[in-house]
Amino acid sequence: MLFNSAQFIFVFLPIVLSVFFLLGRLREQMLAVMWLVIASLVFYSLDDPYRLLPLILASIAFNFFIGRMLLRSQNRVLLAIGVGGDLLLLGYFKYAGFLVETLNGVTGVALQNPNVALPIGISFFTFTQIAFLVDAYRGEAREYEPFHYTLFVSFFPHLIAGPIYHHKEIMPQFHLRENFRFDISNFGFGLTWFALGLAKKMLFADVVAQYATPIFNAAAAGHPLGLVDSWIGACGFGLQLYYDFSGYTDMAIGLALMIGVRLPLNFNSPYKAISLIDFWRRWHMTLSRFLRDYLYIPLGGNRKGPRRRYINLLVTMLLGGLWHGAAWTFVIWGAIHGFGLVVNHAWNKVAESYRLSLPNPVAWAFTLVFVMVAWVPFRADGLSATFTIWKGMFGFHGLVPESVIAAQVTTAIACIAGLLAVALFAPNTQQLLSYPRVIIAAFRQPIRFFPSPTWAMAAGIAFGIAVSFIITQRPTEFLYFRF
Amino acid sequence: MKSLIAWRWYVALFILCAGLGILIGGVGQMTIDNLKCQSTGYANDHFLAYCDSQRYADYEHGALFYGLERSAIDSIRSAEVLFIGNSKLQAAFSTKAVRDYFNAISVRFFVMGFGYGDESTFSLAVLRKWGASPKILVINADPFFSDKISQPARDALEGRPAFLWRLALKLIFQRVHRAVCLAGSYVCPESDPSIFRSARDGEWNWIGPYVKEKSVPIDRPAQTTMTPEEIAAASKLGDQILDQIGLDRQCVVLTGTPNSFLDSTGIAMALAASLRTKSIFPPVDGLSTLDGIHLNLASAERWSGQFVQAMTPTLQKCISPPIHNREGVAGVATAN
Repeated sequence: MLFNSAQFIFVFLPIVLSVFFLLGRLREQMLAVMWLVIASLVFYSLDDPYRLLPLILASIAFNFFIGRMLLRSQNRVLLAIGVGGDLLLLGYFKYAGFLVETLNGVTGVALQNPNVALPIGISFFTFTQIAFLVDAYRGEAREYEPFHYTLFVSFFPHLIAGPIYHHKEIMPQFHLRENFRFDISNFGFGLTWFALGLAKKMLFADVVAQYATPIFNAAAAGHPLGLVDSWIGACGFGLQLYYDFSGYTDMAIGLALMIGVRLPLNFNSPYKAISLIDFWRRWHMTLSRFLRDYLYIPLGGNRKGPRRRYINLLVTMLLGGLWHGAAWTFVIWGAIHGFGLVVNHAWNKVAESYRLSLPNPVAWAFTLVFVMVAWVPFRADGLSATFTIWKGMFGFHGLVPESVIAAQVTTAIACIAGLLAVALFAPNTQQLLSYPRVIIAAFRQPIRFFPSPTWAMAAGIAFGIAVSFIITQRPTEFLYFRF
Repeated sequence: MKSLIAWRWYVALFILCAGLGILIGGVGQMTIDNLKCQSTGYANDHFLAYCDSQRYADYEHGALFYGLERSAIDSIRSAEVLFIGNSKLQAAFSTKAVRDYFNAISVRFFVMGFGYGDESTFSLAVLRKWGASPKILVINADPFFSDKISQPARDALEGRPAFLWRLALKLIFQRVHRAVCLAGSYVCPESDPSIFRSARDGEWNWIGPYVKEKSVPIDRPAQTTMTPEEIAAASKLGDQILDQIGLDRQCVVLTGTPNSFLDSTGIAMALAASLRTKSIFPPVDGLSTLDGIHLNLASAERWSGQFVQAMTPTLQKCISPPIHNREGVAGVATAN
């Protein structure tokens, strides 16, 4: 089910909230938790229940029991079984086809591609649970009730595309008595977050996608692209992805807030970054945190000298790229960012030694161009399409040879300029709505946002316009659903 | 407490503005998407029945079924002579000759054919819904009596919320479109072909806004006809439908509009004989069509002019008070 569907907004959500608060009012907290679990599983598996439901339930049961055993005896073999099992599941569903194709290509054998359809959200719920297992092994987790654990993994606002949260920041919130009572301030605050996220998705991401998608499709079809088209494609997609994914995250945060749960932030104006290191502190922050805590640091982080640090960075980013999808284009994307981070760290060291510094506008422009160029393999359908667009971006096909989007070039440029200006100069959602940066210390703090009439009107109208798009058009999937 | 009240007001205002936003967004989107529709045909009591754009397309099926065009529904309800059929009927009877004839004898009429090749199912649904009780029914029976139903008709009959919402937006869009194009004609490219329909008598205004007048002569006998079995099936269904309507069969007139492909005349003639209804086939030579199927305007004027003249005895028989006793009648009918 999609957050941006009439079915979700007008049927699923009102029913889930009504029953949840009714049970809360009757002081049936456990029943309310069970209700949220059922609702989350319905939300997850509605489109393909016979495949998705057993998969997620098996994954939850496996991790719950391994985690429980790890909490009792911190056994390294048990951890390896748990993490290995998770990676095997992820590997089978996500990478089996890719591996077979790569093997066939390299060795010339003709193994049959298993053609396994990727279950939605598998990357997210697997990572959430790997973190839990590692923390259980380290003695940093507690033993949880089965239903609370199931809710922790399957909680519908985050299940499909994150934010990838940590049990320490979420589990305590499922036990807060006040979260089971309807609170108009939580509901209103959540509604505002949801409205802004929905508007980002429907009015920004889906609009700019109209210009970026035909360009990437043309590249996939082997059409040579001019300089203007290629930059429109790359920048258009960069903005589409940002508004799509940050919109989704805002909606997830809003939905959780309606029942008093505070999710971690995932974006902090990434296109304002003045270096690649800065970019990764602002983009998909919960994935960066996961990769740092459960991959980069265990690999040695920066503790074993600069050379090892650079290797660790490269490995982390390569695997981070591969996490997004089983394709060489994602490996290239991860490699570009890994290489970029290595250069960034090396430059910082040199700059520190020689007291050099780039002016902020130059550093910002350099970072933005780098990130936009790197988005091309992330979006393109294959390596050939990637190189077609890159060649276009660097002028190999001339300035404007037969534009793919023809008469819409001016509109596309205006649209991209407008959305970029919003991303660069406007405050982000958490700044607008005064949301805490570190939720673990703030989930009992009162909301700092003041409910003014101006906000009610602005958010209400934005929500209404976005809903009108949903009603008249077929809702589009969020880009991160593919991962 | 103060904060609680502030949040209550906040949520209430949010919901109110969300409703407003849905309306603004819907109409705004509809306007942007369909600004290319022709706006020249809104004059008098015409509404935009169809626009050849993806997001507008058909409006008249839903509008007439759900009564969005109130004056059109009033006209259908009060029509003494009702024309029903498909787009061929609309092309043939959307003429000045028909309008002048009925106006002159003060007889209320409505041409209620539908595009997309719709036949009896949808027309009868509209008739039933609005309790229409015509004195005379003119049917373009080639064969008309069939279960065939177009997608717009199906959508209207199913009445899903998304369809109804789009329909309401189309209604509002027309007001915005008309005002925008009137205020600043340079923003309206007028490039998407459109059909306007009179709410007063149902006639289409389409020559110009939708197609250019063309002349494709009907110079050979129509090739396609129906098998005796198909005629028998249509006749069986027609019998049931006419029984339901309950009109004297002598006040039901079957015809078949001339065209180059389908032997409409032959089919209608066979059905009229089987159903024991009246039939009228004006013998007009040198007719032309727009596309081999629909009569062009010049031919429609000639053919429908002859048709309504030939209807006079039926009018005299079926309509009361008799047409020659009506106020303002210039004797057009009785003189013939």
